[in-house]
Amino acid sequence: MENFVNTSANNIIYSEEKNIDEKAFLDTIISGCMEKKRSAQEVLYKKYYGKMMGLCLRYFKNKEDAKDAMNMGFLKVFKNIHLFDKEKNLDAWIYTIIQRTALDLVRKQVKIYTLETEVTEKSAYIEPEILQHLYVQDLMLLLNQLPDTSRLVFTLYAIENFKHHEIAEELSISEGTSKWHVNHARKILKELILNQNAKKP
Amino acid sequence: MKDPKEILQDDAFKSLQNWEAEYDPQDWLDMANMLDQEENKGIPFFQPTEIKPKRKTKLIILLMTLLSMMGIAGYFMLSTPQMSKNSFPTNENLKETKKEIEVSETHKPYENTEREYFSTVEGNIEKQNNFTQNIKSSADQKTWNQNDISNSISNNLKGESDLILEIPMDKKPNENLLEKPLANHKNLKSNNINNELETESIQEKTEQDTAIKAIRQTFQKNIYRKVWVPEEYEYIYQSEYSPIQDFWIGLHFTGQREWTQELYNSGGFNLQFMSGHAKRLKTNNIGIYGGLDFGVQFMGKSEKSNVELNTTTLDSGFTRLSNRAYDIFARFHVEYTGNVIVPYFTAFAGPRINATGQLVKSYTPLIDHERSSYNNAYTSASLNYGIGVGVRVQLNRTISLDARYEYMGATEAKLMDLNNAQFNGLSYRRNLSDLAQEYNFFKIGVIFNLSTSRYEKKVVKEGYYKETVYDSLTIDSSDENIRYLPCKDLPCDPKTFKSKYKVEEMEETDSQPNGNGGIYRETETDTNTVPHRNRNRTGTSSGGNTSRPAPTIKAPSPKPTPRA
Repeated sequence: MENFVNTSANNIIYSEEKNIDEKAFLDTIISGCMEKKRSAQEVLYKKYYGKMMGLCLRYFKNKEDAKDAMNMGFLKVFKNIHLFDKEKNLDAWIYTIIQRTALDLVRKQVKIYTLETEVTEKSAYIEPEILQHLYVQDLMLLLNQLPDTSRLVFTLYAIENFKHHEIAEELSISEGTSKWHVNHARKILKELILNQNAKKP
Repeated sequence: MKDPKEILQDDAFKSLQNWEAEYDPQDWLDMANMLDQEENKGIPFFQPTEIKPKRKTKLIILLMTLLSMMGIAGYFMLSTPQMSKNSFPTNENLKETKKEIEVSETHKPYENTEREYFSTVEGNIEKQNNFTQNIKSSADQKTWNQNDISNSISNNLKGESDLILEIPMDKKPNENLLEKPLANHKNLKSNNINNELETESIQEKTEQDTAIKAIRQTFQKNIYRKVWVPEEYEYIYQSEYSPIQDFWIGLHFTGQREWTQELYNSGGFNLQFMSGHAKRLKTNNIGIYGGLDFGVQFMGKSEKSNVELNTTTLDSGFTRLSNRAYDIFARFHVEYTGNVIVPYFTAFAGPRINATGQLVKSYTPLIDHERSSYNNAYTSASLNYGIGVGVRVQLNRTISLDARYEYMGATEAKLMDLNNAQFNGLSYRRNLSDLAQEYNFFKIGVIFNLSTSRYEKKVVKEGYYKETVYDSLTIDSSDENIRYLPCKDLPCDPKTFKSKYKVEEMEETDSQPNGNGGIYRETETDTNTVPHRNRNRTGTSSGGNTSRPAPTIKAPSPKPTPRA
């Protein structure tokens, strides 16, 4: 893992030393970001890029949209980094900001129609052997084959651990609609997984 | 049923929660660009591309509102008393100016204006001359510097703007006076040519500004028009004893006496139809009336003569002669009203027809014939005239008792003498006598006021032509064709809030509004237009009093001539 040392007030240089405390490392980056050091911002960006990009890719089918959402989220992070309490978790803070930003953007892109019918949530089960052959990339491909609304609701529910009422509140829909989309996504995903498994030799 | 071996499908996707995407260096470049733009971004207000459309609209509206408010505030600030003092002097400022230059108040305003203007401009030019001399003398000594120039300018031209701008602008100065400062200005300019100092440019600029200020004064020119102010009436309720407004009828019994003889003393009746109005003499208590007087006088009868009537039964009857006079006079009547008893004077003239008739009447009713017959035996006519006085006692507003005496003169006329008429058993032998030429009339009767109006229309104020300001222009004194108008549709000068334009031959049109010579009547319902009665009728009319010709019927086409 790459570590960084603030050797002077104006410069941040890379260091290969591995015994530097993680907290000190983050403090250094945060301090650099507060001073709007581009190198510090780049380090922070690279550090959280994978996870945040993965988050945004779950919300957006298009990589460009995901990247725009993530960058806008990072922009907010860099602008408000001085508001961050160093005693708290930086990962969660950044994750929340980018998630909120991505949700704001995806809410504008995806039209969600409210269903008035009562929907009973039905869990979908599948054989573990089948899932063993599925890698993360495969799962992402499966997710992308879902309809936009169902994918978004399923992502929030199954991956982001949102409750139905939270999803309803977040997307301005009813809980029944949220449940319906989750069931709908499960049903499609199950079919897709089974079909994919059947095609394999 | 759930197979125990199966796992929840959602759990498989939980692994995505920690999945990290592969790093793309291009994304950081985009991020860096965003950061650069963010850091270089100035005030959001001046970065319209960064503003969302809705917010941009709000900002534009806010900006426009602010600009409008600033404009309005600026307008009012420019219209403060201080500004008014400098540009358009008030009466107080004018008084102060008059005190300074000691102009007598007894002078006419126009001359006063000229004097003020002349004195002020001359004073300014004189100051400039002094200033120029100061600069020249200082230049010879080579001790002139920039601060001295500024101080000198400020000292010499101190209060200059007040002096210049205190020129009354509502009165037009003489054009000859305007040429004088121009000439002085040229002289000043020629004197400065030889000045070799570095301050030459500053001096010229100062002179030029001062001269321009002095010369290019504006004055206001008012264009007047004459409008007809109609009469003002007052409608007064008529009391019981007020003059008869319109129409009245008099019914009198007339006793006629001859002036010199008593041959044809008689009685009769008169009926007068009179009309008029008291306002003719513009007094409250005088009524003047004119009309026709119809009268009849019964001038005596002869004695009865028994006759035998030419009927089948040979009935008995009698015959007699009777004289009558019929009058048709034109009468003039003037009275003094306002009291119960109304004295009056009257005069009349007209023809009198004197007629003698023979009456034949049976004593008993006849079956086959009328009971009586009346045949004209003799007729003559005379022209009569006379005057009279009388009083009218108003019982109420409608009825008055009347008594009068009249003297009447007449031309010569004859009538049968009834006293000497001789009946021969069949007819009368004509025995004429001259009528008297002077008569006395004593009349007693009743006058009926038939006027419907109970209100008198009284003129309170006569109509007159009034001069009103038709337009007011601010005119440049250097060129009378350059005028300053309030900004409305013309390009506006942001400093003065007035439009400057040059006109050619606008005087005639300005002074003659509506092409009517600047004079036209102002009616109650439609001002600034010609009276209704003079309007040309256009379009269709629903009334019947149109002068339009009636439709004509087309003449039928000629019949074809039959072929031979």
